[in-house]
Amino acid sequence: MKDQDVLIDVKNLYKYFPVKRKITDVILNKPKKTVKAVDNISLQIKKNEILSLVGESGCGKSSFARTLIRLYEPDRGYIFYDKNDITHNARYQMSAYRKKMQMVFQDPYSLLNPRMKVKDIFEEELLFHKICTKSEVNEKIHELIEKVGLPETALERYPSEFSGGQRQRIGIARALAVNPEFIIADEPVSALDVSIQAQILNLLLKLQKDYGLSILFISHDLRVVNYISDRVAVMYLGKIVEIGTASQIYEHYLHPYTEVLLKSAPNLDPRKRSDKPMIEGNPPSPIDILPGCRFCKRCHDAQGICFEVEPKMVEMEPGHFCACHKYQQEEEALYK
Amino acid sequence: MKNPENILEVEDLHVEFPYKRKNLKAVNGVSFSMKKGETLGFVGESGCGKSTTAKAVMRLLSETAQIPEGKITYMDQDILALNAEELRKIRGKEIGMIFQDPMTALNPVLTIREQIYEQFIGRKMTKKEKEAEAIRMLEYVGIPDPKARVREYVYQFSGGMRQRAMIAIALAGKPKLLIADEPTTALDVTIQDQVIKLLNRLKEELGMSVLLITHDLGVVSQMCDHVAVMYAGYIVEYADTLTLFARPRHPYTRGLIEAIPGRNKNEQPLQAIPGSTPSLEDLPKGCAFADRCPYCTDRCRQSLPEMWEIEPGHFSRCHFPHVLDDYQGLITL
Repeated sequence: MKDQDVLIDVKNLYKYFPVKRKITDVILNKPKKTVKAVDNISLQIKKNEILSLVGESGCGKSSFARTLIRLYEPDRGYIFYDKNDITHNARYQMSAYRKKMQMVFQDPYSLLNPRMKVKDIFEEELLFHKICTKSEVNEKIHELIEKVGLPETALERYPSEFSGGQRQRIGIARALAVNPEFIIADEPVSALDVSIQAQILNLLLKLQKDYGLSILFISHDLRVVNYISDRVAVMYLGKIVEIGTASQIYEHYLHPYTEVLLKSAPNLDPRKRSDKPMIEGNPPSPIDILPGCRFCKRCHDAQGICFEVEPKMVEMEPGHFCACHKYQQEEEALYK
Repeated sequence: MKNPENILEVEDLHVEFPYKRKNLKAVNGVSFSMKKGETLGFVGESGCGKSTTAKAVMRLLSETAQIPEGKITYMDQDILALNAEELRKIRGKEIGMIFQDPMTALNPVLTIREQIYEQFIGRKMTKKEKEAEAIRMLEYVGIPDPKARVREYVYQFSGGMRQRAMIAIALAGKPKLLIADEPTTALDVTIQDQVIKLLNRLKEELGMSVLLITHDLGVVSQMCDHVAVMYAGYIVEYADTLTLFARPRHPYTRGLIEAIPGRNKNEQPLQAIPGSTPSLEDLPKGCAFADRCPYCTDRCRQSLPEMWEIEPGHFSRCHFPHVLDDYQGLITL
């Protein structure tokens, strides 16, 4: 990956959250527990690409997104935005970046002021970030609402008057208003019906082309991810286990967890039904993490070394990385 | 029952909700039957009437709901004519229900054990027998350490476990018909896989019939024997699962199929159905799908299409039931 292509460079990022302690724990001096939500993540997001982050609930993908956009302060590691180190920027330093990095959420309703009309919500945003002058605001608002495929009448309405898909369009318009370079879309279509989902996905693809955006697309739906992504990163318990292009991941996945995710999705062929689920149980808690690979207890291919040593991320083919002992023979030889 | 093999027969069901001086027509002339031991899926998007239909079967609709027409027959009993006492005998014991969100469906201030015990009301059981049965139910649905967990509260369970607990509670009443309203929608894909396989296994072992409501055609594919596709309160297509997936005939069904990302290997662009569902207070007098249908004609806007039997057991509510004869479905038989 050429350096000039990279927009966001994350190096060894950590974000832990302390677990609330009961008073008895404090008195008895029990060790402090932490949720290791983001545990040494390194990845890059290129200009003009859609990178998807896929994983199940609790794997840390939302925490990672929020740390990346500096809603949380990282504990360790670095975040570079267009080669600028924004890891520990103060609030005033981040304001320049706030226009460049925007976020679209699963439920846009919670971030739209229910007592403001749509046009007022946009106007407030445009004027606050000084995107245009007061006289230009009207034109810009009309442009925005058209770009996301909503009628002009939408501007006079309140957020509660819209359906889920329409609110999501408003959420996207809100993010676009400040002319960002980078958008994090956190499960933007998960709550939508399948035909509305298709509309929003097509809208995102079109806007990405028109505006030359980079998008970090977070989802647990593998079919959606396959459709929309250039590259895919698979996350499990705070770590990235595999990363590659969409075709690398879907056509020749490497990591056993990736295989589980892909094969768990219900088959669209009714003749192909099986009795046993791909995997049993839940992911273990991100609080008491045992040594070794995070996935070893549930992995079909686990061997001795998996329970002792954490596997390293290795480039298996150009651009396709995987952290799994299966592919690291020399390590195993040493272990034996 | 019209057919002794059937467990449930619904004829011309209409459900309406008064709203701002008009009536929301949530269910419009829905008719179907379920054979004993089958899984029937109702698939459609939000607001199509699938949940309302299911709740009507158990008389769980809100007090404002009106049922101006229709007949629901469960094992020779006219559901709509039953009084409260008779309904109580059926709910939970004959017909059970599981919902999308266990956190809101289950009682947060009762232990799982107590909620299972509620299903035992009317059965003569000692305290020991009740506890043993409750533990057995949790074990049956795959909850580890059932002895301890049976005394816990819903909030102490994780997502997938809560869903299993809800299934255990529903099954404790030993229902013959289980209504499952979007049971996997909020779950991670691996947990969804587990719940689908669990429900299939339970159905086989207990000889249950299942009425499944979902918007996910993948879940339909893995669980259902027959499928009814709903739109704006109407059933627009009905067939056995294989036939529906191989030869869908209604344009809305086709729209649903084409909106599935990555439905086949070739990179076909996602076809979103343009527009949105009609408002239920102002349903058009003709076909409800007319405005969004690529094959729409004036006749479609003027008159409501009937259900046509295209081939034995395969129905489509369309004036032009052969319009998709050449359409390649999700599978080739």
